[in-house]
Amino acid sequence: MSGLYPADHAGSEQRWRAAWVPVDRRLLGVDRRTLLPAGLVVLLFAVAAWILPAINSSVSVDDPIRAGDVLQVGDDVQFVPIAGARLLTGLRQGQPDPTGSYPGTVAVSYQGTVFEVITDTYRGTPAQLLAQIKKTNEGLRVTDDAGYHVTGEPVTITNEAGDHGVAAHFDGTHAVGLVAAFVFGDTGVEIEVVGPQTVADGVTREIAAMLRSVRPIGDRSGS
Amino acid sequence: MTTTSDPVPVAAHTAAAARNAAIERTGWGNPVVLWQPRNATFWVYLFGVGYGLWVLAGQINQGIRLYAPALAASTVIFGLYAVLFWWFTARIDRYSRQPLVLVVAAFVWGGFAAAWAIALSGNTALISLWGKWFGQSFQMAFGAGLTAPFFEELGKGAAVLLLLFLAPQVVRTAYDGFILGAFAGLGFEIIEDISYALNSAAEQFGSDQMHASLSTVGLRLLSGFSSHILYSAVVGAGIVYLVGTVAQRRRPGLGITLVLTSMVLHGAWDANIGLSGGNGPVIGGLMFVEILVSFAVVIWVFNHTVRPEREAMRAVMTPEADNGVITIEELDALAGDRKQRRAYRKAAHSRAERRTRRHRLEAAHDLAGQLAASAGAETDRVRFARTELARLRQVP
Repeated sequence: MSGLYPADHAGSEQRWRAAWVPVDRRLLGVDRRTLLPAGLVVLLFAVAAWILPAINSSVSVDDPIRAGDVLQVGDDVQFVPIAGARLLTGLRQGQPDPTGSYPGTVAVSYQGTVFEVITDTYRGTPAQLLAQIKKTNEGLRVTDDAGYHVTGEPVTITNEAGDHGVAAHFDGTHAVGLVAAFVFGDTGVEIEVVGPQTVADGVTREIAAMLRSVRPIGDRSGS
Repeated sequence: MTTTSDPVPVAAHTAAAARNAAIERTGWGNPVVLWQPRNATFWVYLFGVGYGLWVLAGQINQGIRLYAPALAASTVIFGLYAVLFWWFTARIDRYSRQPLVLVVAAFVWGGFAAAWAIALSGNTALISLWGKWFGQSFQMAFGAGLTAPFFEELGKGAAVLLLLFLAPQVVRTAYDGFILGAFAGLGFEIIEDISYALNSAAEQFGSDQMHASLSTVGLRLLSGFSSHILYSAVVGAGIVYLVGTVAQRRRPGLGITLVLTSMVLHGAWDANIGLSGGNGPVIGGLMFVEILVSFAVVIWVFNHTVRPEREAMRAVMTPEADNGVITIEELDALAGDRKQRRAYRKAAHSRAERRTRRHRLEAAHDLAGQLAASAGAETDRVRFARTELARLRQVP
């Protein structure tokens, strides 16, 4: 049987020769024929990893808060931002996404201070939520968080609706702030306020007013 | 020369020539060595996978102290899911099978380079830009749909492009691109799913990580079957048509059409909320139609690209049928589709015979693989593969 089908077997030597890149086909020691596909993939990588992120960083968010704006966080929470602040992420009440819902994270910046409200399902007390936030904060290894940690003893705070929450210092290497927690029914609320070491008294008062304006929508009971 | 004087050698030589030509054309059985310092795509491959691994390691390191249980559970579950889909994808690669090293290379590129070196940063930046340019409502409705198809499909497709130039002696047909694309998609899907599960662990302020994580695992298990594997298989075939090989002439129109079709399907799937205006029943209807269309497309591409593979299998095994090593019926089943294989098995008169037929088909695949590896030459392994077929013929 073997005689019927003579072999044309390319041995390892032939395969080695087939893979050989002739000197006149090299550029800087590399096969010129592979440069185009390699370059196309590098271009895709460069667009994804460097060019678009650079463009994104250079485009600033310009969505000023006007008097009367109310921001909604998730389905259950709202707050009144300071007029003149800039909306970084989130949606105004009455302008939901196409599914009729609102994102669970809203952030505004005002005079160099970032005010962020995060809501999610939570069953427990505000003190337990703050302890959970502290545990998460200490457990995460975030390289660019400037060393933020929940510090100091928590104090009780009260919003405009009379709901009680807790707050503690939230300090980092280059900035200071505050983290507060409320629980409205089954909805936990985390509020992070981070800004420069010193701010004008007026700004502090306005930020405090914004913090007190965080409240549940409707008649959901608070803690 | 007449049919009575010397018919067999002529037919035999013709069959042998056809076999050798098929092996040569498809590159079936050629060895692959990824270590190619003079190949630019080799360095890009290494860089992409290395960068992706570095980014992924950073992400895992960030939450490992908190979310190790959720990470471990989701990794085990998606590992089993990967085995299932690996088995399926390897099973449809039944003709001139891809070498394991290429399949693994595609999987690794999809899982690490495409997902973490390309898609993560590209998606994040472009979705953010959609929000800045057109508002957050638009971003939430259409951001993912207008972003993911570019970086994810092109990122996974890059695996096929790189492997085309890393192993041109093997990756030659559109079906090769289809299979490698599918494995790149599988790698992307599995590693992405694990990262989704890890991200979900932080929901509810991290207070119930297992429940939050496993809910996401369940959703991804249900929706995963129609997404990345399918899209990137189509893109992989399209890239081979776009580039062309010694076995597949360039067909840029078809190649671009396939790549764009996959991107549109992916984009539509990700933009269902925007397309439906947030209407729940409409979203369900859109998803149903998109799954049907996606499967129709992938089945068409499969049937279109698999034909040369079946022809190659027939060419390689025809001399074996001529010599009585396998029957014509077995040759038809080997080089045929699912219906022909089932017809061959069902022709058995008993369960034992049916099992024997299944084993003989598998053994015939082994013989075809050995013939391809030896470039059609008679080697000890080829002879051994034939004796295995003979042994199985005698099994009752």
